[in-house]
Amino acid sequence: MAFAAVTTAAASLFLLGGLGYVYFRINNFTTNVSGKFEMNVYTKIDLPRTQALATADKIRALAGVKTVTLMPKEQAWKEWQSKLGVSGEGLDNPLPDTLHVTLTDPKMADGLANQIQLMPEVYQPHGIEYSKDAQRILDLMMVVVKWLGGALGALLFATSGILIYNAIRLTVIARRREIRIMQLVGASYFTIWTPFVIEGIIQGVIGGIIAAFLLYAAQVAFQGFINGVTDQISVPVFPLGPVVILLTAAGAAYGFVCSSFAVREPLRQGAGFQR
Amino acid sequence: MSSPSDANYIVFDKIEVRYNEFVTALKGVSLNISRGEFCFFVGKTGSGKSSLLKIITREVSHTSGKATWNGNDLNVPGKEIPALRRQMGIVPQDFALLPRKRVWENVAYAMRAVGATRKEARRKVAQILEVVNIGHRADAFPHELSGGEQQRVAIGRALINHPELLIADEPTGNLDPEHSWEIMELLRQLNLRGTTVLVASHDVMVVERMGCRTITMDNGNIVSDTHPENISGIFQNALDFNAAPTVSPSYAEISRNAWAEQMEEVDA
Repeated sequence: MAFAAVTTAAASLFLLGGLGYVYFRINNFTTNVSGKFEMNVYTKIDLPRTQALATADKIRALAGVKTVTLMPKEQAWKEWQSKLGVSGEGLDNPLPDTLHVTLTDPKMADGLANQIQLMPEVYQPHGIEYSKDAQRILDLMMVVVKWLGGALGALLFATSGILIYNAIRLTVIARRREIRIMQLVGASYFTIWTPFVIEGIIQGVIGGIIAAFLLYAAQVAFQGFINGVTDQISVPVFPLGPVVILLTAAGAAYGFVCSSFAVREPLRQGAGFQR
Repeated sequence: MSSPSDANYIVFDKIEVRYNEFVTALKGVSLNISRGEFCFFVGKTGSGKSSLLKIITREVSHTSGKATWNGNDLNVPGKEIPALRRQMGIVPQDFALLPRKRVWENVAYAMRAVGATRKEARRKVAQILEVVNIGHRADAFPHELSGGEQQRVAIGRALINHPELLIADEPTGNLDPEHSWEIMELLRQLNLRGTTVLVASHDVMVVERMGCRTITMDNGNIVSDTHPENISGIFQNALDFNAAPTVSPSYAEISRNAWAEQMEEVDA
């Protein structure tokens, strides 16, 4: 019975912890991607550098703008030639100064683009370039992660709670003879309740530790898989210490709550409260 | 001479126990039991004898009427039930021994459950096992004992906290006649020492031979209440220990005086 309770707690906490960890990583990723989300603002072709810098300051002052950096047209021209592997010698530089704007929130991209486009220093009629699709996908991804993660997390939380409750309840039923004897000799509710709850907490703690190491193993396996496929993606280091502490604490709390509920009714019945 | 409070040691006043709208276990039972009495409750299965005893142990709550023990209302709140039970010894029909614990551990368990230290339990358990004549099997497991021996362990466990009231529900229900008589003799010795003993039984032979107050129940009512002075001569003879025909030799060796001495040692 104890084995069933421990494995149930471990499986539940592994799923919950795994989901929490994935949610944390995706959230982290989307935050980082948001920070990297940028739009290019092209100035008018013959705009003086001083005015381009003044425009950068104006844009920097807008709400939702994180950074604004100027890419001088000379540098852009050089990079363009290098990228295409051609020499532009003898040709006039056709490029304008470009302002790279990063945003604090990709959702504000449309509004900002409209405001910036109205500035007279900006190339008309289409002086702004950014990926609307990328922004929408990012938005959608974040919504899906938040809602799906939340719903799945809540479902798993409830399911694992019921599983632990049942495991402890089975333990209580298996030991009902012992409980009855304790009640016959006048043991107090607390005297009978305590060992069961301690057992529940211990089972939860063991389950939490097992879940933490299972998560660690899953991360190592995932890392191995990713390294085998590409060396372009670096998988973050697994925070084993905090995860062990977190899942152990969660297991202990789970064990306490579920075993308290599981013991309550059989003890009340056995105490002779029924008519 | 009994004092008035001794005469009203346990009082049932128009007690009714209704489990649901179709099942009524007790239908207005009124009864007085004096301190130090040995009472049998007899009747067929479902007659209400166990329900009556379970009101005292608070395994069952009465629906109406009043029940008192030592002048105190038995209808105590749930949290006070353990304290109530600590003042009485309860011997169930099925012995209720923990199968994976040895004899001494089973008895010690009752002491530990009410907060006694290991040292206290160790000292007292050895003595009480001698009192119920099972000391020689202290290290045995319940399945290694006969039914009579198991019941003696259960009685030892009931006695370990020095109850003034002993309640036994069908204590001989699973025993052969010889072991039944052995257990009854043990209960009688306890009663002679001052413990009030209430026994539910349908073992008519044993009840008649004991010659104690016998309350007969049927269909939730008391149909007769026979006191020892009204019991016929043949049953009176059963009160004579020497006349008891089937007391096991080992147990018969314990004289009444030896018993009293042992109990005094335990009390000390």
